[in-house]
Amino acid sequence: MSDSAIGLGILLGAVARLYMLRSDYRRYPSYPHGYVIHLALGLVAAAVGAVAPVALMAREYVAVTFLTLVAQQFREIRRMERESLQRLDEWELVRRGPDYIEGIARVFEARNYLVMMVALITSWTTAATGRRWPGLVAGAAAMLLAAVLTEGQRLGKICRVQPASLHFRGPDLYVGDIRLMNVGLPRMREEILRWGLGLILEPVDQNAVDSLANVGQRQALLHDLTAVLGTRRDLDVAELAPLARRDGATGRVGVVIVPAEPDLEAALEAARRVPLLEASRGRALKSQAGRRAAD
Amino acid sequence: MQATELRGWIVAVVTDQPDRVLPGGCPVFVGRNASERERIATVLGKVLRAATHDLGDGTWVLIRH
Repeated sequence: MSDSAIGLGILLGAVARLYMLRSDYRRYPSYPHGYVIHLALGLVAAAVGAVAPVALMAREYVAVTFLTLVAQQFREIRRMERESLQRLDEWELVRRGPDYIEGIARVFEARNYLVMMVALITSWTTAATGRRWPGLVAGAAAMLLAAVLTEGQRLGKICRVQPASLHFRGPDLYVGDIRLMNVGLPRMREEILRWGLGLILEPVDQNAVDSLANVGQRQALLHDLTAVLGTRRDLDVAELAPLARRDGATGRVGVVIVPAEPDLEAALEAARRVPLLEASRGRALKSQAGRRAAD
Repeated sequence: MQATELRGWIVAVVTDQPDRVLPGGCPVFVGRNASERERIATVLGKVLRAATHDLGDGTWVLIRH
């Protein structure tokens, strides 16, 4: 029975990794070699997770040391992801920024632990009950749980995203009543008014105000908007760079983007789906003083 | 280039009011009128990869962010 426990554990672990590998417009990797790397490491994670309970049941306690060894490898994955993303980021027109990269790298490390957990639960249940079905069910449940737990919040949850008009007062560009920047060249002003989209993000509470104030979070927002809608800027037209500025009094954030495809609905949708970065998550309301200040 | 961060330095000044600008460590270009000023600023902005900001008195500063 222990053989089928291990086999089943590896299988479900691999399926879990494959499921978590689904990539959308902002996720990395998006090319075959990235897939191969993560599938291979996921398979290793699944194998270790599947073998562990069987080994422990056979009173082979040395197996625990292998778990720590593998954990070491997973940290290596985080470093690998971080470094490769950082290097690519240098040549992005609109960067992800270090906060976003750290978030992505962390996700990649965590996914391997989840794979290990799924394999471990599957293998343990199979070995303990001596039948395959309970193992399959437990593994699938663990997979679903992992998917739900790691879903993470999005900007749409912590703020209202609304369209707002772009206009100039003298040389100053405003979105709604939030000042964004000073634009000198009349031609650039025309370009921004003609193609630009304005958004205002209105935070729902004090935590959301803190999150939106985080520069890394705003950079992630601009990066995602650009990834979805494209941009008209190039290295030599600095004025068309997307920009997010906050209104210090209310915590609202005004955004201008000059996209290749000016589609307002798509912009609103993309902004709402930007992940709330762990590094930026506001926690003011978790403290007593913070709650009092928010009254 | 961090789009959300202001970390700029002045790479050039373009003006059609030369009496209002003193040379001080960065090149100053004088246009004879508004259209010449715009032409100079456009070219400089592109080659220096800088954004043009209006000081409001006939003077533009080109800032690399």
